[in-house]
Amino acid sequence: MCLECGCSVKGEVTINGQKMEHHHHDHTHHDDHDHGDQGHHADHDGGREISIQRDILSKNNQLAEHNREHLQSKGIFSMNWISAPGSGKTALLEKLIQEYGESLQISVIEGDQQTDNDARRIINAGASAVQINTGAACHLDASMIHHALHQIDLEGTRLLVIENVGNMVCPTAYDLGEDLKVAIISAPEGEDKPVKYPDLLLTADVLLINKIDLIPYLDFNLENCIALSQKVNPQINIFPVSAKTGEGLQAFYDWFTSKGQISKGPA
Amino acid sequence: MHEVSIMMSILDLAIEEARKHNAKKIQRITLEVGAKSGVVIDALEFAFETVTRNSIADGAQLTIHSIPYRGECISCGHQFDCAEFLLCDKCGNFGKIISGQELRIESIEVD
Repeated sequence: MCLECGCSVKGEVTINGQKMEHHHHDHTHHDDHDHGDQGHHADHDGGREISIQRDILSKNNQLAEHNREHLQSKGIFSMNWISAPGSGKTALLEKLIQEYGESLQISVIEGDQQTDNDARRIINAGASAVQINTGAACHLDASMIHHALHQIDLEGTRLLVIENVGNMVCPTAYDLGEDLKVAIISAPEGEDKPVKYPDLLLTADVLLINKIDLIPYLDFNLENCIALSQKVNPQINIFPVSAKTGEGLQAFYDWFTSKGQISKGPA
Repeated sequence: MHEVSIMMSILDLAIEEARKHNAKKIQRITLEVGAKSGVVIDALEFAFETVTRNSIADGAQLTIHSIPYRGECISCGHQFDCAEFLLCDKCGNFGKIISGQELRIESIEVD
């Protein structure tokens, strides 16, 4: 699996079915691979140490910052939704669009290894969507988002939700330029999920605990799950929700619309 | 799972720096990896050989300094090692992270 993951497969990344072409902006560092043949240089002086002290993901972070500035200049509030596959991200989005789509003017960037099923679900629900297919890669990065943004009607968007590839580990390392990082777990995954996959919670601003309508049928104690989550990340904002019944979504909506970066818009 | 992609970013940065210094061969790459960076060191080491093959870092050594996950209590200010939770081992209150999320390229050794 490891060898199939990452930049080596970037050529296979598609956005709405079209192969992603790399292009570079003047203000970003070029990232060409030039292997071998470095030629001889006059000042060659044997082994020496060069101090670098740079963040390994600095290039991704620069691009993410560019995305963030771009979105903020258009007055768009953005979220990056991360969870395991099957936690109900797309269903939650469908419910969010159904309930608040008109006032929020939602656009969605869907990340999946394959198929445009989720983008079609979002479009059917009444929002606009761009599908990124990552091929074998296990996460979205800032460059993919940058390209996807070119396909979005930014003037007609107030809320952008990026639905990351279903994976609780790899996507957490990559800043995409979002305002809020949202982690989602669901009740059937077990109340100790926040402890089993703590890295996501540690970097997230919000935790949505989905499928709470199923709790009566499960050995799942919501209070325990919340307490464990707060032990992992004391600052995290937690909202129990149900994509099925819509329960709890109003509280989440009220919270993020009151953060000042996005208003409730026309009722 | 994303260690190959991380390793390719490392190699990009290392080659960029090596070029700036007119080096033709990278002999060693030294990293700082936090215990809570989300990266598995074994997987990084595994990726290193594959990713560096046929580059100017082919055959280079990889040195990884691992950084422990540590917190500082928000109420008593005590600094502590974290295992699972960000909880003060003195007063039991919540803490904030002071180290463990590093993912940095520290230096390279070149010819």
